[in-house]
Amino acid sequence: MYKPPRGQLERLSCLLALATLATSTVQAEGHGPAFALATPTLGKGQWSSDTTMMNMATEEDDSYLLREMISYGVNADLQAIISFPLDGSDNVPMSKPNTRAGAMMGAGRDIEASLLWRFDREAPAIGTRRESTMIMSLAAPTEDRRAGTKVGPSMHIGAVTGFASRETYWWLGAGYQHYFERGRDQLGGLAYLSAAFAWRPPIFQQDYPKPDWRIFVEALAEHSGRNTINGIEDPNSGGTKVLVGPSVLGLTGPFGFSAGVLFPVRQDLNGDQDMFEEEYRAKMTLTYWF
Amino acid sequence: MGTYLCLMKSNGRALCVSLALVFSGATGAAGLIEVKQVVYGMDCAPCAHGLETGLEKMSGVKNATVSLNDGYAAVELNRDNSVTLGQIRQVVKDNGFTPKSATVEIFGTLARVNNNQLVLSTATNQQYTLSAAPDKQSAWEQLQTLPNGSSVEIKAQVAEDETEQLSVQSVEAL
Repeated sequence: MYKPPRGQLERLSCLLALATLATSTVQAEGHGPAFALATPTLGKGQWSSDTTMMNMATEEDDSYLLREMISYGVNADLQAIISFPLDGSDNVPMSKPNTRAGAMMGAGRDIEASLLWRFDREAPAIGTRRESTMIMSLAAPTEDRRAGTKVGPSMHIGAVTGFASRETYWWLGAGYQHYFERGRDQLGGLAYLSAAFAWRPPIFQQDYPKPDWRIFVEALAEHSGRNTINGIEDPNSGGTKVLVGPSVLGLTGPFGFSAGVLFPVRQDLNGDQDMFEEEYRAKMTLTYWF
Repeated sequence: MGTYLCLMKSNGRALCVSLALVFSGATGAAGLIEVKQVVYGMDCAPCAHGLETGLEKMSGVKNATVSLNDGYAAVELNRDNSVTLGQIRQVVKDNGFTPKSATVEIFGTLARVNNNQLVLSTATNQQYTLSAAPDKQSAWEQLQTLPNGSSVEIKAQVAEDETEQLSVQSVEAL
């Protein structure tokens, strides 16, 4: 896995400090769970920016990823999203087995364009909403190889259904990312299931524009297929991981802050990939609504 | 007033509007003064922020506030606005939420059209059909005593699927 150089670590630390400072002095706002699929709302003509830092730690390595996601509300039920890496390093983090930087945000160093279509919604009461959304994405890599495999463009599709209220939230989602062959290489496809449950404590159920915080429990199950190199399957690639952990989302005004950590409860990696077994996966996102 | 009534008989609604313009010019009010729109499906601060921003961007809106816990958007309008309830509800829909019933405060002039139906006309050519709110009979009776052409400020309920049918809750003759 990728180990960032000292200068980069300092830069990431600065960003973290700035983010912490920002959220302590201004109002915060955001979308939903840190890792799982959700059904974010964005009004017609609205823009939002999500800046994410993700850290995956194994026994021997830490890998970092910094990504930006810009969302635009085409209408109340259709969002256009583009996400891209901010880290200019040539190294490839989050590479083995394949994973995404959160279900809503592309993989590795991909530039990903997505459409979110909320195809079903119902508002049965004040402060309550049931809805289902599909996500369709096309991604192009910015690096030549990932985990020693030539990486090609990919296609991602997912669906999520959920419930939102002033007290509780839940979302259940599933997705699949298919990588196209490049040369005679091909990254294994990534299938995932995600679940998130959130609770907003009574102290944070005060009315807008008072602070709005909620606590999540998230679960993510990922199954990555084997990579193909020169037309031959790499036995030391792919596998299954199940991760569970808490996250928090703080909202108020035009800013948002979310942070979470997932811990593996099961890891079955193919072949000799012990070094890639995760110890934890952490993520922090800052959101700004235009 | 005699001229007004005579023309009303020959020209109906169109004349009502032209006189409303005269009346509203005298007071400076155009129509809707305040709207309290019930909103379903709004659960979080970004939802409220987006809706509030969207409403405040509307031309003619003086101030907008949103309540998550009580599920409404309250809109205060400038005196010379031409905003309609339909436009406010469209902003709610554009933000992904469901507009339900609304309470409005509206200024206009009274007229009686076919079968003595009471209508309220505003300076911006909007016309509203008036009816009695179930538990506000005294307001309705007060309205019945006012002559055509009276300038009034009405507080009324508007059902979810209506934009021009007002159930009158209170009346103030100006």
